[in-house]
Amino acid sequence: MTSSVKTLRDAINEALHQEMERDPTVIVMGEEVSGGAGCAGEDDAYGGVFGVTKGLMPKFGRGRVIDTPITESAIVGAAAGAANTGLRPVAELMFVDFVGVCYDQIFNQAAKFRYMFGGKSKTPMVIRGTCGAGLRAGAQHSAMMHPVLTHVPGLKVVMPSNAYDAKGLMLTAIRDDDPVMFLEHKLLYETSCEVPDEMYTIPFGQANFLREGDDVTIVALSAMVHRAVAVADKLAKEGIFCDVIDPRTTSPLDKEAILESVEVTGRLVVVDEANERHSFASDLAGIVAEEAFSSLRAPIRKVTAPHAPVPFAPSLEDAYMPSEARIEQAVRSILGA
Amino acid sequence: MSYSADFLLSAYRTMQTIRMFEERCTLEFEAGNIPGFVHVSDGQEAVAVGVCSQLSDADIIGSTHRGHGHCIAKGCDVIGMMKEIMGKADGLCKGKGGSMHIADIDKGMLGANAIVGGGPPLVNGAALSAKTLGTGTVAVSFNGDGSSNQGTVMEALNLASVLKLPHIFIFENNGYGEGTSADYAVAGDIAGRAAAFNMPAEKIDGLDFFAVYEAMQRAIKHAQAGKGPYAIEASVVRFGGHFIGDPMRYRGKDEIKKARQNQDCLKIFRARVTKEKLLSKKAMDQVDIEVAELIESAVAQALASPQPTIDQLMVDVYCSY
Amino acid sequence: MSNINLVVVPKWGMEMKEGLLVEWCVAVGNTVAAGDDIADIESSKIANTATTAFGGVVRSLLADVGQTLPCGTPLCVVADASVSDAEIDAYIANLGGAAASTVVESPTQAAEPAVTTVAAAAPAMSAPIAVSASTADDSHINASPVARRLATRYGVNLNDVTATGNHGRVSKADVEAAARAAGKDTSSSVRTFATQADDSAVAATPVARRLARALEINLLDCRATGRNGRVSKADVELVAARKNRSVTVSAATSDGSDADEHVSVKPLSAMRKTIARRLQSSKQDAPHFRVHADIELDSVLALRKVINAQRSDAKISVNDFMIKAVASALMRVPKLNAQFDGSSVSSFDNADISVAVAIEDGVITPIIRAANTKGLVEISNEMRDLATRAKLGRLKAEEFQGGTFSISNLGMYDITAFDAIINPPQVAILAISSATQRPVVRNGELAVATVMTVSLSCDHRVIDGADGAVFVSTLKGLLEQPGTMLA
Repeated sequence: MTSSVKTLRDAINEALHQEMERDPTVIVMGEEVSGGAGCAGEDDAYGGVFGVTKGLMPKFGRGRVIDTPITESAIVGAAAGAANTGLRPVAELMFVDFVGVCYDQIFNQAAKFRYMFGGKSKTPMVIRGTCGAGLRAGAQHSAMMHPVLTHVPGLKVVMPSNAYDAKGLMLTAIRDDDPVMFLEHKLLYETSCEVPDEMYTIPFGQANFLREGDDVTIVALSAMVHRAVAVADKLAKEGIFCDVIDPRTTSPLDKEAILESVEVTGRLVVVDEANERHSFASDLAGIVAEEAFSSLRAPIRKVTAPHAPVPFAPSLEDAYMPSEARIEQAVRSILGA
Repeated sequence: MSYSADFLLSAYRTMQTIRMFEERCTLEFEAGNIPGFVHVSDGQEAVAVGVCSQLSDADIIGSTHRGHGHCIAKGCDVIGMMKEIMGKADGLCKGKGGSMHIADIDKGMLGANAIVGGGPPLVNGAALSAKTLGTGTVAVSFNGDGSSNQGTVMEALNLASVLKLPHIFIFENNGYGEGTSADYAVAGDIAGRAAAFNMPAEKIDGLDFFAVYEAMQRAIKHAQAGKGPYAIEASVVRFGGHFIGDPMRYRGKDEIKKARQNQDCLKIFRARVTKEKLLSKKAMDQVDIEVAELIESAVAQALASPQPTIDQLMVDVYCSY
Repeated sequence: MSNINLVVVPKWGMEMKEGLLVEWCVAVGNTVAAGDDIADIESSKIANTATTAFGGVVRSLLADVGQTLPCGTPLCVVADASVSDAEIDAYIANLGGAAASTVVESPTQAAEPAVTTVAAAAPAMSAPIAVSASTADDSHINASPVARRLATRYGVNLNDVTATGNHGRVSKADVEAAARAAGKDTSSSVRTFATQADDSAVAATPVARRLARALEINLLDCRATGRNGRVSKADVELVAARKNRSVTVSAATSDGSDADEHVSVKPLSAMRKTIARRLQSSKQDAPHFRVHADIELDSVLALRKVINAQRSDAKISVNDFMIKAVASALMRVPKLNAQFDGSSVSSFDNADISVAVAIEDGVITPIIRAANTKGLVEISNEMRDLATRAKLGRLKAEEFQGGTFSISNLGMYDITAFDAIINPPQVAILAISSATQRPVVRNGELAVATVMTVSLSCDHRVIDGADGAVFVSTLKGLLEQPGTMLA
């Protein structure tokens, strides 16, 4: 088994290449997934605006790598209909914020087909969406959206935090028979780690523990995982040890692993880049308060974005996102109890 | 164009099944046996059958909230449908969908859709599958005049044309989008809109079974030749309201009475096949009796069936979780 | 898979732990619908009927009439008729270990630890628990991260553990069960910390910062709810309260001098803390008002002399007379013979008089029960006994807890008058001062009498001014004319 250091972008790209080769029913569709359609310049001009789908169209052709007009409803609707009728589409929302334009096709159509039709149909589609702030992209290109999506029965939500997880989770997502929202954080595309060259899958609903310790449980999502790890490492130097848990998927959620950790530590901090109200942090706090109440030694702390749109100015955007300092203070505020 | 007697009798049977099914739904709803909202399509049978009689199980259709007729025409089990509409455990969708979400993917029926304009994007997907997998099949979306204004329909027309998908858009213009006339709400022309997206678009008399059949023939030929989408705007009449129980205050005095006399596609069909000696009155009357029995049986069975048990609530949310 | 359903002993209300199976409402083979009665169950508080949430056919009854079963115990299996008997039997066999965990009272209570029960329930699961622990490599066993960590800590080999977690993995509960079976203690010990790190960079209000320094609290341990994200005084006080640190700063530190050798600081003993707490809450909760009177004691003194001379077993004190007189007065003014708990008044037929006795480091109040029914000699003897034992610390709880009215006598000191604080839940207390020779006016003429000042404190929530005044004047009447106590 060979492996190499790959960026998260390249890890997903590799997953797509390998799976499209293995399974001829997998197609990719979206805006600029190849780029240059009908233009006088280069073919595959983009390969996705973040380069995630580069090289696919030259290899598999425009029949399987489809550049679409800027019509999210049409794209996602077509992906859902195709999924019902024999294909495994991987559609793209260039920025997950655009889910507002095609939300009906996701939450009312794709998510509900299996249930409404009595179990007869399945919708094995993946919608990839770029999420998160940090690139100064402004309020309409920086949202997280997982709270709204996790809420929907029938939908699965995946948020890889590193290149290794991204490849394994993407392969699982394509092979999964249910509709999957695959959220890729903008700040993570350039991060890298050792990724096997072969194909491997990571099951949904299985959390990853990046650090282990008996003193505090920190649950973090997506790009926030790395900030949580940094805080945990700093605290470890003082003899305070944390379980840092990356759920990887918010739906299904590895509730069990998180509850077990809280039973040991009695203290929970949840780091979530979504806006505070109805965030994943709120959801998890409710679950833990209900199901591990007697284990808690201190109130649950949430470190989230404030109830505001993502600001444009760098100073403001940096203050908007949960910082290591805020995470650290949240952890310390419950240690003394 | 010549038609075999068998085919015409079968087409008549299907149309009559739709007619009697829809009329019985109205009665059963008023008797309190059907929960929720029901939208019946009596009066529009010729389009459903004219289109679907040329499709196989592998061809996919998508429908609207007024989908019973399309479902029956596509070959879905009538008894299973009545059970589903009554919310019974052994209905076509196990009681989980109801009238507005009635579907059977095995028969190529992608589902009735409660969202106006929700269907065409999905049917584009089915057409994309057909094209990508090289099945040679076509995909058909049924749309109303009301949905022709929805953004999703415009997007779907555009994408179908851009990707040259074998998607046949059927627009049933029954003159009303809920309680508002199409004349008021639709700027310009429905067929014209489709044509603007670079596809052939016909305007036909939807009350004439034969006109529908022949237009559909042209559409299938075009689509199967890989030339892309095709649009047919058929003018029809719905005898009922937008939903069962609609007081229909927006319709003119005696409008429905006159429609039943002069714009009944079944009467028109019978008159023509009788005049041209294509079918006998006796054969058609016999079909009437058989269909009535089928509907009666469907209702009796549906009434006797139980509703789903509570343990079915969480079943089929996912394939696996 | 979900065509087999289990009806268990339900938990009705928070305290129910078990139920007695009184009677079956169904028999094997009956068809039931959701909501139908299954069995009559009786707990210590209620009798009710357990129902089935699922329809189907009753396939097996799993308990006997007359058995008392813990909540969650399987009662019967309801399944579709189409499910085979073999499947039902397999389902029931699998229940053995799972049954105990169907009632979840708190997530820290894991499944039944008994090794034999779990092993018996696992025909379809992975390796049964071996009597001697495996030493084989267990790194390939699918286990949750916490489970794996605890397994290492407890020395449990994952090969020996039956997996009941999600997706077939070994869970924390599974490992703890195995550890307990091997005799390990699995109770969690959670550490608490004080942060050592430098907190000078933490934004805080000046007052908060000063207070934190004084209380030796690290600002990093505090939430920051003040304006502009600063730690506020309230945030520091919250942490202080959790650490039980007193918020008052001693005067010694504020004048800047170091180590003042003229001050000695002694924390309160437990008894004083209790006294302090009770008296403070009494003064805070009960609005005290006072009624004073000067009482001429000459008649009582004379009577006392007579009785003491007449009976060899009598050594009656003025205080004994006070007890008797107060008890008689309470019979005449029963409103003051009561207890108040903040919302209701309890009235008593007899007067149980609490008499304050000074002891080392405090006060205790032994009670003369039903003083109104006792003669002076009896009261006197009883009081002497109680006071002696009080000073020796040998009173039984029921001898000083309770009482309907209190007397506090400081007459042995040369004081004119004082006011006492009510002992809750009583509604009044009488403070008795020194009896001294004082000038009095009788029929316009100056005379001398032995006069004692009394002060009655009443709880104005339930006692009105008039009631207090009536009581005091009644008491005065009884003491100045002691013969009237006979009436």
